[in-house]
Amino acid sequence: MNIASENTDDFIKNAVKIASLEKPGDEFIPSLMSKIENLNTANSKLSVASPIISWKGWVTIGSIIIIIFVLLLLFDSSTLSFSFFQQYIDRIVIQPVTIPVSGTFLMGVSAFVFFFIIQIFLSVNRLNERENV
Amino acid sequence: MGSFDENILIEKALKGDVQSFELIVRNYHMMVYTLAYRVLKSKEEAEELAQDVFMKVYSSLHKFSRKSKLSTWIYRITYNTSINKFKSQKRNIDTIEIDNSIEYNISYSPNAHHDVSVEEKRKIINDSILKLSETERIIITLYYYEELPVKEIAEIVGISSQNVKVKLYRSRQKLMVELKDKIGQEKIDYYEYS
Repeated sequence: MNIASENTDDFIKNAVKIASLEKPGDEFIPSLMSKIENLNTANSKLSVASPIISWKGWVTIGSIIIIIFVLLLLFDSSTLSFSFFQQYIDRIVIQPVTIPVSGTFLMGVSAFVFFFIIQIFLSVNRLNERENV
Repeated sequence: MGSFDENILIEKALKGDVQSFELIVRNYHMMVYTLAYRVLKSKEEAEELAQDVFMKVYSSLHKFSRKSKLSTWIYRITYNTSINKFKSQKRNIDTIEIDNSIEYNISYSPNAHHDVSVEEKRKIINDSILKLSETERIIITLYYYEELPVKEIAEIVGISSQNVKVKLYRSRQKLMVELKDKIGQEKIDYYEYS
């Protein structure tokens, strides 16, 4: 770099330093940080979102189904005693209308009621959580 | 701010610590805003764009590989975002507004530059910088104000180091001619700008 170009370089450097940096408005940082906070909150809400039935719930439900299935497979239906359900049903069945109910059907109805109640319980919990966020 | 401190701030910001990110913003906001302003030539648009840049930086901080400096990465995002916005607006590089402001403030009599006040001088220089092409404005600012090496500037603007040198030489000549007429070399050489 010769003397002339060194002078030019110094001249321009001084000029650009004098020009200095532009300054944004006073509200620039507070406004930006508020946007960042909002973004953070939105992201955290997204990360909280989880399925209604958790993996533990599915494991429990799966286990119950497998146990029932295995029980039905392993034991002959004639050896299974549904006396408790039968007695219960007998109480609620209005005479003289009697409906023949098989054990398998009773098991199915029981399982349906059981899972229906669980679903209500989980859904209510879920809605409460959403309201609290 | 050292790279070690910055790495700590980045780690904290990645974990959702907004205060750490605010420190990063405070460190770079003026340069980001200046670069945006020097491309867009509008304070309102530059402010909006600078905010968008920091939002982008925050959202994609996890993608920052740390192969380059944080400043290089932030300035590259600023440059690309500004240029994209500039191109979408299809603005004219030399606006009539700038010419008028210089004509209005400075008389062309031989002794005019002796009476130029500091603020006027700042305005003349800024207006002269804005007369360069948008990439030249960025290169000049990063090279002479931020004192970044040519290689780093090349990385920011996405051209070769050789190309940066050529643009630097041309913009230096243009600015020299422009400013010599308006201010006078001896005045600016001894001016204390600190």
